[in-house]
Order: sequence, then C-alpha cells, then structure tokens
Amino acid sequence: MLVAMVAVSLRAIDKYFVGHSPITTVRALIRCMEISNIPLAQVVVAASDYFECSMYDRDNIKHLRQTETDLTNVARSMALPRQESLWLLWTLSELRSESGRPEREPFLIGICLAILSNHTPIWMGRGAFDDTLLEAVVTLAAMSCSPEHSNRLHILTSSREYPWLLRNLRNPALFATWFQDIPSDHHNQFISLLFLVTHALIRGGSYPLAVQYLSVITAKGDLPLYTSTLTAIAPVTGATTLATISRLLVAPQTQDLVSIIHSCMRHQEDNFQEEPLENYDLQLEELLENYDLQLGASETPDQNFLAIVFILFKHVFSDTTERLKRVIPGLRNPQLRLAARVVARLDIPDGSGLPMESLYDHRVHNMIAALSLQRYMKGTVPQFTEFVLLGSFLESRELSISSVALEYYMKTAISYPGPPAPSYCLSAAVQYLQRSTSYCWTIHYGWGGRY
Amino acid sequence: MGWTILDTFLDGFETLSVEWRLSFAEGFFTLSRRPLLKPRGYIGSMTRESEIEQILTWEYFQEEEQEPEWTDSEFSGLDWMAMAWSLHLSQESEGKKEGSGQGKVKSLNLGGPTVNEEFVLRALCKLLDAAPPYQLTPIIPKLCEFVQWFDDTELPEYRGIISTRIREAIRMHEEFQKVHCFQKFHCTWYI
Repeated sequence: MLVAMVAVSLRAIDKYFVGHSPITTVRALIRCMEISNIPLAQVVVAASDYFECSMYDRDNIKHLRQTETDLTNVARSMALPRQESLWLLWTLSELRSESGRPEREPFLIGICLAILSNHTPIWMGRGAFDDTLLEAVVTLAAMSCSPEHSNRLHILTSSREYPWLLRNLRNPALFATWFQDIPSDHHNQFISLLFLVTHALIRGGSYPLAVQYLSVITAKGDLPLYTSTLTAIAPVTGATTLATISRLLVAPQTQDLVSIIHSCMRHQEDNFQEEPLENYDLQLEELLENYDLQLGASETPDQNFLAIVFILFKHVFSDTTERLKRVIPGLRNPQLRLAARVVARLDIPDGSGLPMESLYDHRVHNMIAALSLQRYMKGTVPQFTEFVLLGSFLESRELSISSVALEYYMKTAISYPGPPAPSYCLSAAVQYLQRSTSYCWTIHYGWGGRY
Repeated sequence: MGWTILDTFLDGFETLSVEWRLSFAEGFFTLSRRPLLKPRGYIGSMTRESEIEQILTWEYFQEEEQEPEWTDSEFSGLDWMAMAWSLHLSQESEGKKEGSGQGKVKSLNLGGPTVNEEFVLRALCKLLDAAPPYQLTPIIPKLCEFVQWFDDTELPEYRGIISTRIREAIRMHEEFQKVHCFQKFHCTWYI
C-alpha cells in the first residue's frame, strides 16, 4: 500500500505532491521496512527521490547526480521484472514529457540499456520478444536525446496513441542525429542500446527495420566505437547476432544488407535458442575479406574486431578452414592474414613474413596464443616450425600460456639442427613461471619443508 | 611450469647452445619477488587446457586489468624446486597409504616426466653447470640445505658435482670480497 501510494503520486496529474511531506514520510517509512528489498519498492523509491530532486533541488548538482546514479543502479542491479521495468520506463517518459527544461538527460540511456540488457536473455530463452517493453525503451531513449519539449511530447503521444503500432520502434529516424544530440561520453551506451534493439529485430525477423537501425548507428562511420560496443554486449546477444552484425558493419556499401542477414539466419528456427554455431553460415571468409578491403595493407586491425573473430571461431569447422585457406593469400593486411591463419589453425613458420611481435593489445595477443597453443596440447602439430611465434608468447603474463609456450618453444629449438638464439624473454619467462607456480602452490599447499 | 619444462631442458641440454643454457639457468636462479597473482580457478581442479579455453571468452576480454602486487621476500627457482619436491613426496606417500597407486605418483604434473631423486639431482647439476657462479652466491645456504635432503640416496656422483659447484661459488665469492676490500682500502687511503 505504501509503495503504491508513492507510485501513484509519481504518475498522478499533479506531481507536486511528490515533494510534499506525506509522500516524503512514506518514502522514509518504506526504507525502514522489510519491503525495501522488493524490486517495486526499490524502483519506486529511487524514482521518487530522483523526481523530487530534479524538481525542487535541481541546483544541487551533486545530489541530482547521486539520485540519477541510484536510479540507474536499481535498474542495473536488480534485474527488474517486466512490470516494474515498464512502470519505470513509462514513469520516466511521462516525467520527461512534462519537463519544460531544454536540456537532454543522457543518463536515461543507461537505464534503458540496463533494462534491455536484463531482458534480452530472458526473451532469448522464451523465444519471443516483448514488443511493449521494446517500444517503451525506444520511446524513453528518444525522449532523452531530444531537447525540445514539443518533440518529446510528440514522441510520447505517438507511442501512447496507438500502442500496438509500435510507432517509435518502427521509426529509427528518431535517432538520426544521435552523435550530435548525445554527449560523446554516452556514445558507447547509446550504441550498445541500439545494437540490442537491432539484435531484437534480427531475431524477431524484422530484417529491413534492423538494417535501418544499423544505417542510423553507422552514420558516424566510427568502426572502433561500433566494435567496442559490440564486444560489450556480446555476452547478452550470443554468437549468431554478433557474427551477423559484424558482417553488416564491414559489408561494402553496394551489398544488400538484408540478404546478408537472410544468409546468416537462414537456419534459424522459430525459437531464439542459439543453435550450435556450425548450423549457421557465418561466412568468416567474407567477414575478413570485407574488413581487409576497408583496412588496406598498412592499417592496424581493430583489437575488438579481432577479439570477435577469435571468440566466434574458437571452435573452427572443417568447411570454414577450407574456405579460409582459399581466401588467406588474397588478404593484403599482414596482421589480418596472421589472424586468419590462427583461426584456420594453420601453422605460422619462421620467415613467413607475418608480424609475430606483440603488435596487439595483450588480451588479443593472449587469444592468438590460446588458439595457436591448443594444437600443441592436442598433439596435432606434425613438426615444430613456429619458433618465432612461440617466442612471442613468452611475454604473456597468463601462466597457462607462458608455461605451454615455454615448453614448446624449447622443444622447437631442440628440434632444429642448430638451435637459433633464444628470445630475449626466455630468462624472464623462466623466472616468472617459477615464481608464479610456487606462489600458487604456496596458497594451496603451504611450504612443505623437509619430507 | 615445473618438471615438464625442466625435463625438456635436460633433454635438450647437449643440443642447446651455451647462450640458451645460461639464459634458462639465469632465469631459474634469479632472486625476485613473486607476483601475488590471482590464479584462474583452483589449481588442482583446472587443467592448462581449460585455463587456456577461459582466455577465449568474453569474461576474460572484459575483465578489468589489475596491477600485480608483489611478495615482500625474494624467491628463486630453487625455492620452487624444494616446494615441488616436498609436494611430490607427500603425494607419493598419500598414494601409497591409500594403496591405489602402488608407488605411482599422482602429482600435479600429470603426463609429465618421472620425478625421482635422480631426476631432481640431475636437473640441479645441469642448472648449476649452466648458471654463472656469481648468481649462486645468495642461495648457497638454501642450496646446501636442499642437497642435504638427498643424503640418504645413493647418487654420490650428483651430490659430488653439486658440492664442487658450491665450493667454486664460495671461492669466487671470497676472492671477490678480497678484491673488493683491497680496492676499498686503497680508495680510503688515497682519499
């Protein structure tokens, strides 16, 4: 009842009661009671705090930011149920529509993103998207970017008038000038949000609309931004969407994007469950070829893009390997060629002309090492020829990598008729491994002393 | 790391160049502080394969970087060897008690080399042979103590080699000290 009182006061026509003493007292009461742990109670109290502060104490910037953060944290950490999420989205949209202030409120994007991130896996599991929730998210996001009161009102009315038409969801033009409307420190969140919407549309079969969203997203032409946000949402979307969006991002302008989605999703069944990756035709070779065209011979490939490729294709399938083998010689960029060889589990012998030194972000370099070393551990390497490659892994500070790399680096050196000079990292790798291993053992077993 | 890499070093000792041996032994005997790493998972339950698999995940890619912390005291590979040998023996005796292993060693180096007194002493001999004598000076007391663990074993040739290397290291250290004192005296006198 108490929670309902605050909730109703927030959505009442005359919201000025929110700041009045009865409601403030009720809020304080809720905080002291056991019900403060109930999602609806938390979200209602946090929203009410934010509203009161934004209405009566707006000049107190520190307090305002705190209430915004609290509200975002509630949306982020609670995995809010559907009804509570909808209540929050609708309430914030109404508050936003009534505010006559011209400024944008980009923190609302964080709330939209948190709700969508929480619900996307649920939808995937259930096999159906919640259009109402998606529309509510898009509506609030669009309103948060809009400085004009009349425009905000129009966006809200448009959604409420005929809710079944999903007018805002079907209108990606609402975000056409996002990179001007949204402060740059919120670009990552915003693009993540739109990628999740695109993901929902792709998995829901609305391919042309998904392509329209993608056109809006890519209007800025900032591939590193797109790939970094893709990696951020990758655990939520799953491999198929990740591969599909990656292909769309690097596709030439002349290519029909809808047909790319069709080709990626042609094996998709009615439900959204991720099938084994081999059931999808992810066309890694096309992904690499198109990216190579964009990149040219001298540019350094984007680290996030490489991470996507490595994680998507950590289990490579024989037909992919065969197709890759045909494509690799044509790749102009040496680092991309190296990545492709690693994915195809092809050896990279000394003198292959490929860059072995640590050119990458250390996490990506560790991924290259992980993919390359699997062959050694499985005993499928017919002869040891990758002395330089293995030497480059000695620098890794991942214990598992440096230990496997050191073992096979030495075996490779021994297998050569006249062993080449050791890497400058050899001594440091031996030192690091001995110390780290003894540390792990000390934790688990303690010092043995004399037997 | 461990016995497997040491075994590889021993296998290739004759093939590897002096530069190789020196580099390996230097790394082994260098005293340094240990990184206080947070191991990925429990060392007893995770294989190298599964640890490597973990690197190919979004959890790994999105993990926040942590500045490593370091232990206060310094350690060398000899400390590791002593610990690993103790652990090996305790596992061996546990295996015998349970009667399941019939003397077989159920240790962390699954699929690795056969670890016994001879293997450890031979490895130590080769490492001491490859290392520069000055590097042995700070670990001489520990080295002497560790070799005493093998007093009961019938492998006098290895213990002899190790004793010789220890004596050489002590002699070189004393000579260095003499030269150092002499130079210090001259410098003081000159000033």
